[in-house]
Amino acid sequence: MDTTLPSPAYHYRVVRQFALMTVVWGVVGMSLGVFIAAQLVWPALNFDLPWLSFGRLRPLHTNLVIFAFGGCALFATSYYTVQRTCQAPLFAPRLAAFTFWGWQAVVAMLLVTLPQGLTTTKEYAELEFGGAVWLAIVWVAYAVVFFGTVVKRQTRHIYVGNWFFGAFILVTAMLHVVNHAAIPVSAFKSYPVYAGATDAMVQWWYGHNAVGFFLTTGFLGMMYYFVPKQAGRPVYSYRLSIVHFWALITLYIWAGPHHLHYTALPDWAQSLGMVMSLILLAPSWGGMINGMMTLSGAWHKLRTDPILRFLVVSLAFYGMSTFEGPMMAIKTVNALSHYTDWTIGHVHAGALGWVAMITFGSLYHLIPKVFGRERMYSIGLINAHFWLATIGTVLYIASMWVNGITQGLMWRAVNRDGTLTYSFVEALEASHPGFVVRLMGGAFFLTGMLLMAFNVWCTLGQRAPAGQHAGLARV
Amino acid sequence: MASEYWLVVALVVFYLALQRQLGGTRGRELDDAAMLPFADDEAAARRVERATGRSRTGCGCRGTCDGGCPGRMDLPA
Repeated sequence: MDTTLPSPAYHYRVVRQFALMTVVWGVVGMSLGVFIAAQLVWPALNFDLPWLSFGRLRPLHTNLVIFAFGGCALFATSYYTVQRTCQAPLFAPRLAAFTFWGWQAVVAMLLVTLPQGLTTTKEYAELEFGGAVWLAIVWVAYAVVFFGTVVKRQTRHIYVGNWFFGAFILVTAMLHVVNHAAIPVSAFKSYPVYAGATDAMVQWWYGHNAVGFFLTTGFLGMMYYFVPKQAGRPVYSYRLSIVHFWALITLYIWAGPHHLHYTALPDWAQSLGMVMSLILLAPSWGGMINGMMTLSGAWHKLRTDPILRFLVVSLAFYGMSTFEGPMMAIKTVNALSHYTDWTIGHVHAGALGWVAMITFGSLYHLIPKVFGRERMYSIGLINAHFWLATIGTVLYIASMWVNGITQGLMWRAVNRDGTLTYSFVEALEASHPGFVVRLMGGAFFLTGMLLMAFNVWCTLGQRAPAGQHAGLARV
Repeated sequence: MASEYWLVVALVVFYLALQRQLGGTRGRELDDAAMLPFADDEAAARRVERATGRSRTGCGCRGTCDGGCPGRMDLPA
């Protein structure tokens, strides 16, 4: 069924599909996250089954929340935004449909291979060679649809949100292809063409920019459309948004070596990574302030609009985690924080507070429009979701900060004779209360996600307003 | 030394890109671009126009557009 508008005609079917799968994969991926958090509290929950062990389920959790939940959200919002800001329907709608089914196939491959232990062992790039090739094909199709739509736009200017989406698509393709360069030896096993420190550098160039371009630049594209739209105000400074874009693009790509402090990587590369990470604070906060200031004259809307609250709080968490990241990239701070739960807390300040919350706000805005409903089924449920998500995020990151600093200090403590003061197990025992609080935080966040799924289900069950077909929703 | 070299490269790329995009751009064009999220949404465009004083006809004029300014560009609302 082709769902188009008379003038201009938009293709919403693929947007609807991706939006719904965002919710589905959000529930699955976050449930898995809560389960592995419970395993760290009660290790017996692995039931001595290899495919249920933490080591296999943790990469499945990260892949599901990043690529299934986050990926579907990016597809849905980029397809929606590029059509509306270019005032043109999607280029090659059949290819867009292919990207939907192709992307779900990628997720299915993750679900089948990772619990079996079939993995490249590269973080956030665990999918083995065959799956990685398929992902690249789907991604090229995505690029063709997105940039094809930009090319046939009816507007003179390319809106800044599309610049962010475009950079996310291009750089992700480059990162994926370079990091997955490998020699396959069987259907499910391949070996990277890089070795030693070079392999580590390529992996963390990829790993950091997966965060920088997949989880930041793409979601900033989302922010530059949905924050102004929901606030009913144009972006605070369009000039600043362009400076933000070029500064972010210029700097992010160099920051990867901060993941390899005090390793075999050349010292100059580590210092470069640290310096670029510190400078990165400026464009990150420039973008955050630009988003926040878009609410100038509209702050009162926060009292009554939980969708806007999601969007603004996501910006607050973006600001917080982009301050924390450069700080953790300083070598002396990293000496304490690296390999501890502080890193996990930092990642989740970004993942829960920024990525998930901007996604929730954007989807609550988008879903009624693409399904032709006046509004979401229950504003009260959105409000409940907001508070559950916020409390869950705070519990999660606070517990991991405490754990991380505790672990870092206990690991480096030495006696006068040079022996370690604490054994690893003692540090692990000290971390247990933090693991419990983290599990509670995750459970709060997941409960909010379940409320969202229920709210979306009921919204779809509502009758569309008279004279408005579900596929013909326009605003 | 290599570290300083790459810093200079990043700075030059940043400067050239900004010059290319913002160098010859008028403030009014940027105001128009900022209104793009509302350009295909009649009701939202009217609300934004009322709240900010910006014209929804495509130019960046403040207040009601009389259609006479050189930046006028009718948007298919």
